[in-house]
Amino acid sequence: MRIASNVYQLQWLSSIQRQQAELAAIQDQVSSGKRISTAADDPAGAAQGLLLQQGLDRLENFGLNADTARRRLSLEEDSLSQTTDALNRIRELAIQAANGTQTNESRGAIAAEARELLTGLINTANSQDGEGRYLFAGNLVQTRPFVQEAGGVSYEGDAGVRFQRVADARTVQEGDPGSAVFMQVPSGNGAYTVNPDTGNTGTASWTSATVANGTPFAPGNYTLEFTVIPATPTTPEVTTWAARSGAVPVASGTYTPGQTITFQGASIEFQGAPATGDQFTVATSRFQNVFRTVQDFITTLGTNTSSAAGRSTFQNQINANLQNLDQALLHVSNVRSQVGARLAGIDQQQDNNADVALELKRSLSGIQDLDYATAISKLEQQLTSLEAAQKAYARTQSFSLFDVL
Amino acid sequence: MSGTISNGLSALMAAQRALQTTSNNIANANTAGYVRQRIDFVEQPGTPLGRITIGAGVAVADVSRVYDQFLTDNLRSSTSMEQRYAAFGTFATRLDTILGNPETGVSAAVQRFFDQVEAVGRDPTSIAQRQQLLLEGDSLASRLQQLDSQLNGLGNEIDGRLEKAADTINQLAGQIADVNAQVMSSGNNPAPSLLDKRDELLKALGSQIDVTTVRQADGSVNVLVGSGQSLVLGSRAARMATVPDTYDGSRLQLAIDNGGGNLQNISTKVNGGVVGGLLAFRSDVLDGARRDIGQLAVGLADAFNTQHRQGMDLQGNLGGDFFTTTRPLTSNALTNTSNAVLAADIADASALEGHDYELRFNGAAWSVLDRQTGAAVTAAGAGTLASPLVFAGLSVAVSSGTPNAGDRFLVQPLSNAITDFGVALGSPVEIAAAAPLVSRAGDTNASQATVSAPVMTDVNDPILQSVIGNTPPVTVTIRFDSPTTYSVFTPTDIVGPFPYTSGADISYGGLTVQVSGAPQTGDRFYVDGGAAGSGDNSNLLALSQVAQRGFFAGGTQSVSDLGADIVATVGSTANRASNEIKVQQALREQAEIDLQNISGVNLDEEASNMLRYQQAYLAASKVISVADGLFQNLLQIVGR
Repeated sequence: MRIASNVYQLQWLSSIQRQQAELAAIQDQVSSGKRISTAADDPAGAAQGLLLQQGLDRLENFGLNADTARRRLSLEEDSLSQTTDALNRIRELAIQAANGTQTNESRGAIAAEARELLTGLINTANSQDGEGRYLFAGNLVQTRPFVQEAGGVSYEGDAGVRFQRVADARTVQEGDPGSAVFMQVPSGNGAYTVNPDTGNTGTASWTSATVANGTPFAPGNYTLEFTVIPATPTTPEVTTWAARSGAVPVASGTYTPGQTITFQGASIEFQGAPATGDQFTVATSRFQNVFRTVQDFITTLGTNTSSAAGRSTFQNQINANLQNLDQALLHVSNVRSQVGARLAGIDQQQDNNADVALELKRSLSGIQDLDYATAISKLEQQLTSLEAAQKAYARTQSFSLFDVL
Repeated sequence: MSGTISNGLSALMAAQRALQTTSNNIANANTAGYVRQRIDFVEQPGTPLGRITIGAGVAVADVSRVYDQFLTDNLRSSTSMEQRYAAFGTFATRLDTILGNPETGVSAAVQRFFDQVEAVGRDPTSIAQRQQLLLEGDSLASRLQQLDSQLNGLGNEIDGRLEKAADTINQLAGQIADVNAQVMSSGNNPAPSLLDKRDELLKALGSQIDVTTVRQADGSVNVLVGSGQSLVLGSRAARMATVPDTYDGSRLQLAIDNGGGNLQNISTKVNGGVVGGLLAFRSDVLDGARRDIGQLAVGLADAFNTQHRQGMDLQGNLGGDFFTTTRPLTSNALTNTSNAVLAADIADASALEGHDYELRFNGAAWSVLDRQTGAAVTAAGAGTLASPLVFAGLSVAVSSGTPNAGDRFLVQPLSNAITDFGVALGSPVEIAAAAPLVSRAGDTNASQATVSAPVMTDVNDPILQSVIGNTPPVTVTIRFDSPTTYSVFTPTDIVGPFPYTSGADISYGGLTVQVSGAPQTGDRFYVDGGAAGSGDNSNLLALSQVAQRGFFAGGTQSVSDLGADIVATVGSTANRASNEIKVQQALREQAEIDLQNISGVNLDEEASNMLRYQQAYLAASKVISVADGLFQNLLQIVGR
């Protein structure tokens, strides 16, 4: 086969150029440590890397969101802990005050401490986060939520709750509105309340009110009325009770002090002797705010217990106060346990996110980063073949017929 | 005796010519386009002497080019393809640098914007964070505009290169016509160098544009371009020029003078050479990349705006558009005979396909053609304002004038998408971070029944509108007339009673809410418009997901997917181009080697020829010398 002389050079040149281009590409990779510098190097890998990088960015955002939620929830947890402490102290005071040895004066001293505690409670409920936003104002974070007025404490916030996204499909509530924490505490035992009529003249008072075993309380408004049937020569004095819903009778029976009266799922134990026409209202529990409960207790402390009727009024009221305080404590502790669960959820999610981030980084590195061992050996190989090409050219070009002429 | 001398002389002359040819081959061994020449000898017919004929020496029959037409044409066409992919690849690589870098591309800018959406979500009432979100929106817009202007710059550069290519083509065509004229005038014996020159010129022309050559009997070569338009006809060359695009005057197309002085656009018919590469890059890649970015901008703006309008701003008003949106560009063909103008709107951004459409009016009806696929598109409607043409997420109508039959219009839905993209909000308080409705249970309720967060179902409902942002605001009240029935009312309207089911939807006045639990007679639940200054972030939580939600292609492709697709597309274009360049380069090199192996000079061969002809020359000299000696001897004998 005939070969033109300049074909040697043509072929050699193009081969050298190809090898040098490949050498430059490997050199570029080795110096940057990246397998992909623009999408052309690996289009599918670049697009996938982009989505992985976006995933990592989003995880970073979730981390910041989680930190924010954790900070606010921890502050809320602190406030709730202070609230629990204050309510526990008030409950101790209530038990102390319920003791029959207390006098009107000693109860006055208890009332003074209770008033201080109430002020503290309101301050706690008006806590702010580090950025000056109120923790318990719902979404009206710039409005002081609890304001003491003549009629009691009013709530100026709203019922809004805020969430932070901590994972693609998971948001965490980063607080509770003051309405849910302090305002919407079920009154009574949580199912119903028992309230003596103000016109009662007997000494009857209730000592415990529970929900009967196995029967839920049937929501409604009931009136429990006592009637004393005086003794006749043939019969002893008998006290009867009748419960009705509006005008409709629902249950009735006889009463002896210390007896538990059960109707419509309510089980109420009474002490003392009612007078005819004495009434107790048994009504579905409603919401009563914590401050009102404490205020009621302070009001109860002012009851004059010089008379027997006064004593039974005090007893009825302090019983109701204690029940409401228990409800408040239970309610706050429920909220606290929810906050705790959310904090634990955040920690758990952040652990998950860290695992995912690690996995994403590993994949990203697999796509983008250079395998140095392979790259260096390819570099060596390329250099060797370049050298070989140069030597071969030098050898072939040194032979010409003209040299021997 | 004289026969011997004349034979010797003829051999001497032949060897001399042969040595000249060889030396010319050696001299031009490195001349581009040189075709080696070969000397052909022929024996001279002898004079018959009775029964025998003695030969009469040698003569040079021809000095011919060692030439292969097929290989020459092959080299020209492979050079043409190589140049096409080189030009295409240069631009594809530059596009890849602009859009394909993960750190500076579109997706990074979009991601930064959404990072700030999350930051506002963490502290929704912070004016500083909100301000920063507006700034991030601005910088997203300016990043997109920057990218778009870089792409536009590539387009302008292509125009400039087309103009330059047209000049070069005209020059080369002129020179080829000149050579043709010389060849034709030299009869059947054109100088080899003339033919070499013409082949070189044709190759140079081929690297600008793909050409077809037709050899004529008179030795001239006719050159055709496009779909058979003659560029060179014998000794006459036609003129090529750039002309403005039919729809877009700022873009240039390549045209050829068809003889009558009319310039005919042949852009779509050109395939090879620099011009073919430039045109292919512009129509197949650059326009597509610009439309893709446009589609991303339109989709992002539409999806973000839709969600933003579901929220409430810091002043208690319903959210407006966060981003400004674009209107499709409509242009008239230069050939239109009427002054009718079309107006187009985006009816459904998620249905946009990223294509351009040509609309033709036949005097009675419209037809729509997809410019990218070339397929006809079915469009509903009559094309009037009352009944616009609806297709591919667009709604198009004649807004003024009356079209004539044969009028054509171009609709480019995404042409202005980037230029028009920007932040529409003027103030940080207008960012609609909050849910627009709030609910609460009455303070004096006799139960613990709860009410859910309300949801807007019809933003245009007058009752809903009076609840939000009205002064004084209207409250929607749900009142339980009994534990099992409820009524819903505002100060001016009441509906009910309805039977109550715990947790069931209660829909009224464009909003929906649920009450759960065991409400008692007289219990009330209220729905109000969110208050100004609300720190709610529920709408931001939804906004932060917008880029991830399926939007395009029937909800299967999200904005962020499209961003990744853009990178993959420009990357694979550049990748394919660089592979194609390697292939074409190898093909061209092989064609060159094949041709060189036939037509190129081999110096060893020439060296051996030189020796051969040198010996022949010496031998011929010897023949003359011998004949001379014989002659001298004879003279001596006769002279004695």
